[in-house]
Amino acid sequence: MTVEKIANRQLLFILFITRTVMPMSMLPVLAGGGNAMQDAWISMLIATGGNIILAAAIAGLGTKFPRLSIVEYSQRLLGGVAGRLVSLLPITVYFTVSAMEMRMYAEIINTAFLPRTPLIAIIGITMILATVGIISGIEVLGRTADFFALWIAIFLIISLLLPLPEICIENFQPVLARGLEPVISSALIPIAIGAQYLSIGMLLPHVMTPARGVSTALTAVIMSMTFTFLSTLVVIGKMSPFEGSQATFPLLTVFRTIETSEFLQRLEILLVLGWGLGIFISASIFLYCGVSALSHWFKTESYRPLVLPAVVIVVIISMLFEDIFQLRTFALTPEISVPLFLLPTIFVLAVLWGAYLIRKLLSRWSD
Amino acid sequence: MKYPLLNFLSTKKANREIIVGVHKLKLMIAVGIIFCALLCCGGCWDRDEPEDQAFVVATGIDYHPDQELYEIIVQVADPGALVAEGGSGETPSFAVFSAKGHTPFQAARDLALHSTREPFFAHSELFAISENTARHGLGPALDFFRRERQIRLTAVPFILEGDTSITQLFRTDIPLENYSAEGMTRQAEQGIMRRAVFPSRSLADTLMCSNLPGRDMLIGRVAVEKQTKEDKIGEEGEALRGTIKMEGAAAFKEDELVGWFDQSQIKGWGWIHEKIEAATVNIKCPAHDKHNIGLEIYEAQSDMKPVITIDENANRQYRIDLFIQADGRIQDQLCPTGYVWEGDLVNSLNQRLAQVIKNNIKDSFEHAQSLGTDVFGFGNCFYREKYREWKRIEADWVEIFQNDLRLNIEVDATVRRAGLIQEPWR
Repeated sequence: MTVEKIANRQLLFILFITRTVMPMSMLPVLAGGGNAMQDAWISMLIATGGNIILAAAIAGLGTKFPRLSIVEYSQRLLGGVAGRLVSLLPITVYFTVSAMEMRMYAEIINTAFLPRTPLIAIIGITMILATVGIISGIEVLGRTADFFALWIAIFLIISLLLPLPEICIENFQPVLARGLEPVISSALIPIAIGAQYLSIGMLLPHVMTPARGVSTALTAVIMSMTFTFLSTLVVIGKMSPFEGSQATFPLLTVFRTIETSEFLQRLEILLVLGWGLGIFISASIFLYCGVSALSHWFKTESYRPLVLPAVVIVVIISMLFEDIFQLRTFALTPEISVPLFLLPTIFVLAVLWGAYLIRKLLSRWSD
Repeated sequence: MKYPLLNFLSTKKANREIIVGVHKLKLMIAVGIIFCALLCCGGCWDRDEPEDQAFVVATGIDYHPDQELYEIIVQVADPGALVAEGGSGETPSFAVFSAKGHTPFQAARDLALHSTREPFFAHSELFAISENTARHGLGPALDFFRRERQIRLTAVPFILEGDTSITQLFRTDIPLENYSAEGMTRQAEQGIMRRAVFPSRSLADTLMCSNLPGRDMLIGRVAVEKQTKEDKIGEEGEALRGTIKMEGAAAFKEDELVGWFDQSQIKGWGWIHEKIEAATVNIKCPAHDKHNIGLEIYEAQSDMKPVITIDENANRQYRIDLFIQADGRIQDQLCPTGYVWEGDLVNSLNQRLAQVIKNNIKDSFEHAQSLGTDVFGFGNCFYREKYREWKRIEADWVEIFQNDLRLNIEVDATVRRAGLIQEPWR
């Protein structure tokens, strides 16, 4: 069986897109349940540290088993049964994240642009495209990410530059007046979103040079966290932390306050176009990771027969959220997102790294 | 692989059929996707044809306390009339509709009951709020403006003073303009950019102020100047010729209107908030102390610092140290003395300009104190720079602002140049 290959650059773009698009739209560090307000930018710095640790731990483990996926090396490290049980956690994360991202994008479109269009239509159309992408294979997704990343970056950079002249520095005061607690509490949500980096566990075996996986992953973390950090600065500076934290989609609201000229207005379409391109990559990649991990779990020859049932499951999961309030509570409160995403990720990493180090020590002693 | 066509032709016939079959399948899938994508281009369930929409250019909101109902009034551009009459004929190039409801949203939706087309708010450049609504509380209106996706946050909000109805305001035909919304937008821009007598820049700015701790809102004031029967346009008087006054502002406490600021008080507010982009100032000439000199300020900066001191009775004294820096130029003078060379006369000119600015600020501050509304954001200054102290005084801030807060104003004003002539006309 031939292994499909992607360049390290393509992995970088995939990780950048998946970790940038949705967090930028909902800006959980400010509009989430953390209450850091004007100090949200400090929370972002802390979250960047947390994401670097998570991405380095996942990619670092992957580079020890350059030709194996996280499902395969879990079984090698922990044995068949335990390995399979542990690898169920990343599989769950892949499908849940894919479903949540789809639902969030559908909510943005429905709330701000197409209020009468049913969510299922928006999700369904995007999922049809994602299905074609996944069946075409990771190489096609990699090339698409290659092509889209530049456009997404251009759209997002324009979106971040336009409000700059109207930034009010006073909106960032007082700094750390309420202590570190709200800042850390707000940082927990973007750190929990770092569970998305579990996708490295499925993508690294397809990379041309897996040995450079850690540096690729860390570059992607820095790139995406820079974008999210700048978004946080723009929202606080332009709208004030009070107005920003009350917005459902803070960056979109900032864009609604910009007037470039009398004849060139409502440029939020650039932002949404960037998000739209990104969500295709994001949903496709997590779904690909999910079906690919399932195929390794069941030891099937190809993941492709699993794609259609998986798509149906993801669509159903995304429609399980009754309303945006439930979705926000699920995704943007530390009380739920930490035990749901961060703790399982830490558990998987701790168990796998522990097993790897113990095995290494044992093999040294036996030598 | 280098010559795909030759490779294809050199394969066996059966294989060629399989390849063609696969390509056909791929082509069919691609066509299917493109077809599906085309179906979505129309806007799915939200497809709206432009000819079915009424393009709202100005939106007004009124509250009727006797009925406890909100009324939304809209001015809708009539592109047909604009083209046919060039916007200056005997029939107005706009229409005005209104509807009532228990909430602003319900009223806005019910507009469709009075119009043949669905109102589309994305082009509304103005938000007129009646004095009634402002006194009752702006909260519901602001909530609607923030929540509704069609509303443009760049639109200019203002308060319509007195008993004049918003319908009358929207029916006013302003000279040189196609419809009043267009005229008022230009006039607001002039008031902000050229004369600093109108504070409202955009709904976004107003919303930001409404949420800041220790700061109250100030929204521009609009009034319709007197109209008579002779001003009627159209057979049924669909519009009235008239002019609109846009200067001063409504001051709010929380979301309720508590009083008005006049032109000079608005300038005082503008000096503090660095909102002066160009302003005119009159001073008496230093040479004789009786002739007017007209100055234009074209650059101003401000800096404020909150200060807390303890007096001899161990009571806390709250003070704001305000430093203003302004640059201006002589635009005209009635004084026969020339202000040409560096020296006492020019220094005195600078001092007099500084004194006028100081008086503007003092007058504005005292007026705000009398109304009990901190439109300057002095409380916000304590919140930002003395957070712990702010938490202590937050609940009593209005009282402190009204009775205890002192303002220490320092102005550095410089007249930089004197136009194209040095000596006055004799």
